[in-house]
Amino acid sequence: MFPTFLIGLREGLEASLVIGILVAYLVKSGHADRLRQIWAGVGLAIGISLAFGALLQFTSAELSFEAQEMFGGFASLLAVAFVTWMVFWMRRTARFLKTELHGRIDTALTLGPLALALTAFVAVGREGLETALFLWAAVQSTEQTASPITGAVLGLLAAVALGWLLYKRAVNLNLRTFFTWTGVGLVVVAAGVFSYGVHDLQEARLLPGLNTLAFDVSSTIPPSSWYGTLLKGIVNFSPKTSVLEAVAWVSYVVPVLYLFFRPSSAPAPAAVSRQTASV
Amino acid sequence: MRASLLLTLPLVAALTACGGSDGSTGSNDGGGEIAIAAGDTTCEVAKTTLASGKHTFDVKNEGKDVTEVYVYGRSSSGSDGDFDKVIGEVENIAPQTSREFPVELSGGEYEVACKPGQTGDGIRTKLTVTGEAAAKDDDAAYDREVEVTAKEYAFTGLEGFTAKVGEKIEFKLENTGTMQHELEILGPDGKDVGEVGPTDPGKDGEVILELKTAGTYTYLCGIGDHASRGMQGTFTVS
Repeated sequence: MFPTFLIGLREGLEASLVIGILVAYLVKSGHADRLRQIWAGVGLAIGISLAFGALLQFTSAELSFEAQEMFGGFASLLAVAFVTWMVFWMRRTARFLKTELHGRIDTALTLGPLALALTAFVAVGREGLETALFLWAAVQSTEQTASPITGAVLGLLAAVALGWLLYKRAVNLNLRTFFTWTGVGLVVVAAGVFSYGVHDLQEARLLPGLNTLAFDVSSTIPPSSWYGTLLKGIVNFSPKTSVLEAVAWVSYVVPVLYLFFRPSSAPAPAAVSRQTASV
Repeated sequence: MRASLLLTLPLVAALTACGGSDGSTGSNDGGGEIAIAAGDTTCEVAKTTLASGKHTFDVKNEGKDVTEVYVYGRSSSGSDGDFDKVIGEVENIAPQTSREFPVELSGGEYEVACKPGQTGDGIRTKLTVTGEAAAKDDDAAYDREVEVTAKEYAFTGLEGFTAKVGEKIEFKLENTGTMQHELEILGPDGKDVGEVGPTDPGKDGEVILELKTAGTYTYLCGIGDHASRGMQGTFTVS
């Protein structure tokens, strides 16, 4: 039961944290009414993943290994694009929040909601298919034992609970701290997703160098240990990282964090950015 | 809400369509399912000699740890490459659960690796796959290949050739002569069944023909007077 608990936790954690931050952001900026867009994206992603997974597991339909990896790879890249967009969108809104021009937040949000649902959708859907396949396999074995499915469901629930805890904690932070930490957190998460997407595309043989490793610490940090699970679940840390994955990670994190902390050229928001950078 | 759904649906359609077109849903698998029993220290592959084509591996995790199973081919062509090119894999196989994965295998050597704990190089088992490269689709699939050589003025390779009704034969023509030749095949009724068209000296060509009716087939070179000079013959389909 414990091994499947860890898988459930790992597969669900990242999406849960991203959704937790999204929800906290909307609640904090006084747009709790927009939450249903998030839940629509989440619900749709879960529904489609489960349906597609059931199709593959219970019928003769099958997806080639390359197609599955390509799905994971491109969905990851899409998720990175949306989460990055979200980070900068929140950063821009943060300036308006600081100047307390609430009318202008609304302007910013008119564009947001459509993309909010999509962000929620790709954040959940990215690992959705793989998780659904894993869940259905556990369901299929319930004739012999219910332990795998129990573990998996508890793991996913634990992931959701951690996302909820993050939301509770984040919603009580002051605005400046909230935007800085959630922003940096999302950038690190997105970098992990980016490098994971690169890994999937390497496995699909769309990108070369799967076996050219930057480092291999899988004996120190076994992927099936609880700490390996948390590292993988939160920042997508792979104990066996290829050179291309490492390059992808660094070349995402460095410029994006630079842009995130860069003092804005506009006069009023500049003050905010300077304060932000000093946190 | 409605707007957001409208925006989301094309994406979903695109994603599933992508999976659908890349994924094979055909059932022309070579030899049914091959069971793999994966334990914490064991990895038993039910069949280690396979015919080329599509196979489905059915992995049952009998251990206590989460496992994953890979099929590796050699990284470089030749017989000395390491087995580290991923041909197929399935991850996250929880204890007591089963997962399947399809693999397209062409002739050659492979290794199956079970990785209990999802780490390390895994417990390896050699796989030998016999036959030519896997046929990509039904149209190109054939049962047998026959090599025919054309030279002034005779064919070699079809002496004593026979086939069964319904067999799909790939006729491969190699021109080792000094002028153009072709290989035309006529059915028992004297009508054209198919041909390898005019082939230049030193070149080759092929045609895949399904021999649908029994009887005596005629083959000949249709260029100039080559047939009457000796480039013709017969074979029987029964």
